[in-house]
Amino acid sequence: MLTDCTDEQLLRQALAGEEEAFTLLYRRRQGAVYRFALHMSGSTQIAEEVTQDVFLFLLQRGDGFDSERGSLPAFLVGVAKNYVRRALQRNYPESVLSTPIEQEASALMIQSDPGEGIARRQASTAVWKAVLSLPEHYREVVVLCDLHSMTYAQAAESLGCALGTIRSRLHRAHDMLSKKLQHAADAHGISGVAARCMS
Amino acid sequence: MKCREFKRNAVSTRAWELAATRDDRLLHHANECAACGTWLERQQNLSATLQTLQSQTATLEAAPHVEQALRVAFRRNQVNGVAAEEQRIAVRALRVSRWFEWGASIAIAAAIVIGVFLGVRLVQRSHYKSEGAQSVTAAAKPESVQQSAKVSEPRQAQQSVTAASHKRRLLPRKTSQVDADENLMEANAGYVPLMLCDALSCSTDSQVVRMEVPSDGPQPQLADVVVGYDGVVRAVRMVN
Repeated sequence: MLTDCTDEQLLRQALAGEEEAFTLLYRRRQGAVYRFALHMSGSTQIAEEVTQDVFLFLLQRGDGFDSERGSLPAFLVGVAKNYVRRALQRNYPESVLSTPIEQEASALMIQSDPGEGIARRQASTAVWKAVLSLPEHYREVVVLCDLHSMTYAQAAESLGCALGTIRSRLHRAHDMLSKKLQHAADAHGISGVAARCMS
Repeated sequence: MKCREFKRNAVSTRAWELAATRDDRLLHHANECAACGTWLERQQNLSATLQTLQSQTATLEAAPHVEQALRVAFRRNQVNGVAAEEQRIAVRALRVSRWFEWGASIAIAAAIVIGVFLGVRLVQRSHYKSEGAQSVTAAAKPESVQQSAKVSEPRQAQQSVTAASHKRRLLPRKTSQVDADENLMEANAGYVPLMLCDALSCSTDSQVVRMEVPSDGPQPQLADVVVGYDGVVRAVRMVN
């Protein structure tokens, strides 16, 4: 059964020409890649492009993947990171990350709790915007460790840097985020849940 | 716990763990130190907000058209892969036939070069033959005129000179080595090299002149003299 196969086995079969294996591998891993690209860029368009590019890359150069050097999800995130960077440099100027993100984020966020108010959504949008305004290497660690619940070791594997680097970057990123949110709360006078989140 | 230790512990704890921390030492220090307490509260709030954002986007996935596009790309890639493999085989076959073409061209070129070389050598050989025959005849004539005064049978001597005159280099080179050696020994037989001359070598240009030498007897004494290209006598052979 294909569903019992590991990622590496699926990849091997996909590279051998098994379309079902490729489809299964895509369905298994596309969410993480898509969300990573979305959190990094704030744009669904970029996220979809990056997801497609990442799996095309896997299709064409998947034989270069070495399971001894890391897991496939970490490999995919590493590839996605490069594609996101390229997409942001190529097509999308800074304006993409300013105003549209508020609308986009609001549309994307799923209201799991109907009781959740506008204020909480506002707070999440503000946090996301703050995350997007971080320098890239800080943004990466926040997205991986805080939004993707990766361990420091997994994040280090995906980004190809040391564990201590991840820890220090995350600490610095949290400080920067806190300051940004505090500043935003002061500037807009957000109250309620959002203000509490941003305080 | 001091502020430095508090920060170190807090930093090594992940945000979502920090938000729900029940570490008494951390909490105790946060209660005692206002700065650390504020920092911890901010971190916890930030962590809570990030968790909210995470939960709100946790189920997001790429649109179905991405999967469709990838499946199309997969199929195309497979077709291209097969086509590329076929193309690789064709190119390899072409390369092999090209090798044969190159080999044939080189062989033809080599054959032409060898043919030209042999042709030139053949022309040179025929040229030398005709030239040698002319020079022997021309050289033999004055000698025979000189001899006619001394030799009683000039006609016979001239014939002998002509017959005996030779150029070793005009010997056919295509004959076997054994034949060549026999000819050489035969030609050199009976000749005595003269002093201060090089050893008798028939490979140099030379000609043999039969001449009469002074003798005590009634019969004239004849001798074959090998005269070199420079006019110096190299060897002599008494005929009778």
